[in-house]
Amino acid sequence: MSWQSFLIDFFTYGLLTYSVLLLSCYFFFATLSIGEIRNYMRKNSFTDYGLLAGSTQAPSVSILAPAYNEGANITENVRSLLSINYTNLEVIIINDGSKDDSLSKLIEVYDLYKADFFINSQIETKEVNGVYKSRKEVYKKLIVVDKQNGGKADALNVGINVSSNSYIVCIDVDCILEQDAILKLAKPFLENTKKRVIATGGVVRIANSCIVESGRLLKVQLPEQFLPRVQTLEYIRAFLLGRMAWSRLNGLLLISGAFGAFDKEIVIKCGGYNHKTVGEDMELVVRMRRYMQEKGIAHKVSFIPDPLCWTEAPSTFKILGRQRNRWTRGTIETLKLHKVMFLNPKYGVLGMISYPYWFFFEFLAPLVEFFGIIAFIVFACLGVIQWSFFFSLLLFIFSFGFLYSVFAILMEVLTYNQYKTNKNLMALILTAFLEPLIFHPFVVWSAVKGNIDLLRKKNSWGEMTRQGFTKEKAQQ
Amino acid sequence: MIYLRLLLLFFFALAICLIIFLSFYLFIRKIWRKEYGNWDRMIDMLLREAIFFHEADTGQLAIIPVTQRFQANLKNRRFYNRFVKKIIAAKRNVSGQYGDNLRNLYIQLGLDKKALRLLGSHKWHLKAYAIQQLGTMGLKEHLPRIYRYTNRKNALVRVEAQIAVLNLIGAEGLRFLDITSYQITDWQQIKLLKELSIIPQAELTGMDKWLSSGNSSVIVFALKLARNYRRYELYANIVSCLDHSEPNVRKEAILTLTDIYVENTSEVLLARFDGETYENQIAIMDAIAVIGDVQNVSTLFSYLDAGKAQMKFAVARAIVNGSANGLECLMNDPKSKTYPLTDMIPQLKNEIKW
Repeated sequence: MSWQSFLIDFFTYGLLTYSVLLLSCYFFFATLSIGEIRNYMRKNSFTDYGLLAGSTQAPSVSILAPAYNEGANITENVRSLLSINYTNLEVIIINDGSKDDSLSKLIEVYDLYKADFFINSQIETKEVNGVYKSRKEVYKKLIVVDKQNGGKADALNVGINVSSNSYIVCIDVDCILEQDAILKLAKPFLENTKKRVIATGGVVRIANSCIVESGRLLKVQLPEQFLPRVQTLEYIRAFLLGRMAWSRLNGLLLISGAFGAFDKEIVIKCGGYNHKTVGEDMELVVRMRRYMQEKGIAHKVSFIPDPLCWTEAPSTFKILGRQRNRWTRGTIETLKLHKVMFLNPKYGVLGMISYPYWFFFEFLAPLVEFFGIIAFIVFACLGVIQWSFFFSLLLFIFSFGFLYSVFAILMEVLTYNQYKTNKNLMALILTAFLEPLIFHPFVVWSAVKGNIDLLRKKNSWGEMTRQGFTKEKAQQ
Repeated sequence: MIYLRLLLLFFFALAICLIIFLSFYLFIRKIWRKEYGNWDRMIDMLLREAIFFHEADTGQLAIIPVTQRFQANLKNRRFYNRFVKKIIAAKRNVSGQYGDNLRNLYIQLGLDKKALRLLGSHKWHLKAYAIQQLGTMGLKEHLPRIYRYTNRKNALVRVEAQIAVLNLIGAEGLRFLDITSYQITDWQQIKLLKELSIIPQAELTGMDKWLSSGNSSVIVFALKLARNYRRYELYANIVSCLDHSEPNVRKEAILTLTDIYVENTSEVLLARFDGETYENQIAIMDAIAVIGDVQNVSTLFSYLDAGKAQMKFAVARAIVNGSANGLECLMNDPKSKTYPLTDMIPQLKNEIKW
């Protein structure tokens, strides 16, 4: 055997082994998540969340919502947050140096005044211009902080400094929360006795094409456009199958930046959000877990499979590309910052399973896929491998991807069933078929570009233009 | 390559099977939905009739007329679950004779026997379901059996049994606190407190025993009970909890004393300040800010030099609220001209104003 043929065999079978390992992981997650979701739903059938809503014993929660140039919808979004059913709650809106009229609108609508407010700066942040409170008793839960622009992480850190409660819920201001979202997110903090719950994440769903009125979700609809629809499927797969399985293993490394609750004490001890990375949501969870492991404190990051938060997904390839590029950079930056955990038994499940999985199958997967396909095409063109083998391998991956998506759709129907009509479900199945052909290659390419941008030391978020939700009036 | 193709075919075949199953499930669910509409009407009608059922007092259990079709439907698991869910919800919302009628209907339909069979199941969720039914329906004759589950390993079974016992015999049911060897989570405590709040007021006995329990979560729960029911006679027991080895118990005691206090409570708390954890020190200062009555407010000033701003702020608030001239004393102190007190004082002034 010549060294060339050895190299080609090594490459071919190496790639095949990598694919089989990745698919085995997915299979393992699917199996784990079935049990976890079933358990959760059974327990949930005995739970009356209304108990928490009015209880003075419920944990005190501060909602932190950073806003940058959200003037168009900010007053409605704040109203939606203020209508959340929870007693021990404060809503903190952090105006991150918006250039539009966000602050003046808030001052006018909520009758705000600049209050004398001592900010306990436990985390270093950009300068705060002022803290505003409402003169009206009905808005007493609202605090608006005006600060100099410093990015999302910096804004959240200001929110942490200002908050007076034990738990913080970090959300995107334009997200729509279910009425019982905070109740469901708060409950895990009250349940565990053996392990301290340091964070809880909830399912984020896609709100494109849903009917929204005054910051409230009136009707759930499957997105009409292809890109948001395929992301709907992607989110179902990631949240219902992926994160539920990681939650069961107590190996969650990521809680969506759009919606997550944290134990403030631990967040402060860890130094708050890192504003030097674009993946601040993942980085904070990893840092908190690392801190707990190093201190030897038994802990847990919980995950709730109920759909609790609805957000608008990118509907153009341009915006989607920026988002995925940023996610890739965020992942790599986080992995780099915490490389000490890699295959380090001192960090338990995190070091031995979660981190290696993220390294090999989240960070490396797009690169392996991209360069693998290019190499296979070159080999096939040179006649080193047969085209039939190449296409068989592609179809093999495609068939598994399709199977996995169909399984996720089935799980969705059997559990939360948000897209009730047969037409919607058939549209989702068709999307599952098309995803590997259109969406997936684009996501892989964006991830590769993310790697390149990181090498070029690009550190921007990239503008995320949103179209806004569908309003009932518009429908009528 | 042959294996690759076989696997590929297998995946496609499996995906198609799942789609067929999904379509079949959707079709069945459509039929079920229609069925549920009819069932709900049927169940609602029977429950309404049962609630308002009135028969001359014959001294015997009243028989509520139930159609044969309804009885036959009860053999269907989905119908049974739907009916049980509705009768439980209805029972929770009515009391007196109306509630008794629903309980009679439940027994008449033999659902108590079915619940007892479920109680013997090995599956925890079925056990919990059975306990929930028997407790809500107020079937006191099954109390001894349910009581045994109040100290079971499975948390959900345990909680449902504890709630059921409260439903059956009221506050007296809290005697499970004497023997429970498992921690009572905060969530469970909220559930128990809520359940107690809807039970007609009864004398809570045994709280002094729970306040010295070997199970720290029982002490925490007892402290919450003392606070909720304003049990001033337990003041000495509560103060003794300030010397407990676990910080969370001590913190709960501080919170309880914020509501149940006497003249020298602030001094009692201050005496323990130095030996406390940072979190509990903050809790002590917060408590003093509420209680006030600090005999010598100048003692608090020494704590103003504490390193963290959070502590400084808590101490400053305690000084301001601790005595009638607290704010004046603070303003006259040279430290008040230094940061961070310069930023804290305007907020504290506003708090007093509000």
